[in-house]
Amino acid sequence: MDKEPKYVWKKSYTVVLIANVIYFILFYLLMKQYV
Amino acid sequence: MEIIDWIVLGATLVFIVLYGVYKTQGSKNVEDYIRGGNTSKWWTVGLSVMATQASAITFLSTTGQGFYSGMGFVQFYFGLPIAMVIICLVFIPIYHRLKVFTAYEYLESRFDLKTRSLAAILFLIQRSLAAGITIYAPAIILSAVLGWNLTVLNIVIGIIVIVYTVSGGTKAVSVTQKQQMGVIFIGMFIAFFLILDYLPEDITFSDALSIAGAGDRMELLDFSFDFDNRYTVWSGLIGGTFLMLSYFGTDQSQVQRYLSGKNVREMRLGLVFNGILKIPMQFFILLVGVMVFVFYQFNATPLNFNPTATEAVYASEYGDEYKALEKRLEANHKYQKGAAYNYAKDPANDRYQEDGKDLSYIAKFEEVDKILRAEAKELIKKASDIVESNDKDYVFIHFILNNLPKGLIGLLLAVILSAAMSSTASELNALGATTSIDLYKRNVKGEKDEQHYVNATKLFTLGWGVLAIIVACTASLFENLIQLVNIIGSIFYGNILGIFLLAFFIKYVRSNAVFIAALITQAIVLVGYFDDWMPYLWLNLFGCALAMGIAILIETLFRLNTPKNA
Repeated sequence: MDKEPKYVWKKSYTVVLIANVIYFILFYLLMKQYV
Repeated sequence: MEIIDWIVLGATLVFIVLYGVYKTQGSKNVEDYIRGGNTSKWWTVGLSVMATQASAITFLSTTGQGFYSGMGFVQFYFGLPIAMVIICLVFIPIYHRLKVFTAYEYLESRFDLKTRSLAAILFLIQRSLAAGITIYAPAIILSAVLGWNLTVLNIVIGIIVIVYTVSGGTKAVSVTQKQQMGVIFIGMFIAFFLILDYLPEDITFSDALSIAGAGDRMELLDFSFDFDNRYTVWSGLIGGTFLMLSYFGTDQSQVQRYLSGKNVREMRLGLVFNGILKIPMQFFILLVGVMVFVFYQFNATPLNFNPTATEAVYASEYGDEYKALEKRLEANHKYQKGAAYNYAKDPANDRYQEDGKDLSYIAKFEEVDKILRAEAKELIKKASDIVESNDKDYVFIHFILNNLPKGLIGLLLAVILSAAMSSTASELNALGATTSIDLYKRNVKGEKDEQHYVNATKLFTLGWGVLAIIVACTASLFENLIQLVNIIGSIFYGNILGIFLLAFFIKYVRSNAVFIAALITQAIVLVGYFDDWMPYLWLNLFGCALAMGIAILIETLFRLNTPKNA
């Protein structure tokens, strides 16, 4: 019988990380625009 | 405050409490009372997790942070999404599989009873003190600006929270937190749009951001490696991840929120929700503070926003000196206002040349403003040892009370008290559960029925609530207590996280090595703190690495000294 994988990566985790990378880029652009 | 404000404030808080009590009475078993019957959907879990972290001081202090230091504080949260993903991947499946009520229960199944008890006791010490301060911090500010009696305010906030938390347990905490988050979001959005509306007619939102930028308030990201600089991209990503992992993964006041989820999916999605929304939320609260800064470029401000501090210095021998500083601030403000208008018309108007350097008028007058406020703080310190000269936490409440229309002042006060109540409720709920499950139930002799443990948990929650009120009422006896609580958190958190990470990832290490390592680590971290080895936020990372390293070393020594066939 196959062993259950220990850590299961879900699409929602990718969404969390991508969303936060986008925030980071937006912050950078905002800073460039107004500083 | 007008009668309409009292009505809005009273009606909002009474409705939330009564609704919470009504919807959640009659828990018959521990499962229901501590894990909320595992019925929560992901949005309830997510809002509950966010409401627990957002205390009243978040709204008062973060806006003040935005006002004085700009947007850079947002970097403090950069580790949060990473921590959310790690908790979803590693912590939640284990907690769920073992059907634990508290995070510390897992430590017994992995190590032994003494390690579980040690982690539970460290949590109880730290969180009980924090619960008192969660009540005290907004109470001291509201009492200073509104003239309310501090002790009465502490007792009223404490009793309201105790009523619904003891009555309905985890379910009541979640149900009320949804309403409280609703009030918080509505109140903050209204405040934000009103600030924009209060700006001069020809100043657009983009102009406001430009003025904030010229005033050095839009430095969102700091890529420097300066160890002394508290908020940088690196401290947020590295230190922040460890801090958030400890807080969300091992602090029962947060673990209990997602353990109430209906199943693993709802728990995970609740944290995903937090991982997506937390940084924009903090960004928005900081932006409110920055917009208050822009608003005060066009409107006069007091030299210090803490009215108690101003009264103290007026009554002292430094009163005349302070009044002279106020006159200078007033004169400087006229220049600030002119510079802000000129900048909005054309940013080029803001530039001037001096000694071959290209400089900004807004920055120049802002510098004068900073110097005058720093001089004022020195005078306040000379005038009184007790009064808080740092007025960061008083900026937003000053703005609310002096500028918002009738009715909305009541709503914004409801925002602040809702935030105080939502955090305190989670803390009391977790303190009661940990005492009951990890200490009482684990050590009590003889068979007891479910109702007995429900009643015991209620009694412990009540007891911790009373203790929190006592801490809040005596908090003013200690200097700088709010910072002290953060320091105590950082002293313990790293060690606790180290224990959990060993449990999850290092199968090689066994219970005795972990227990001894935890005790040694705690002693070293305490020495490190008192000997000032590093800024206290880094103690999280240091404690965690130390606990893990020492445990692995001790385990290796144990194994080397144990005969193979023993």
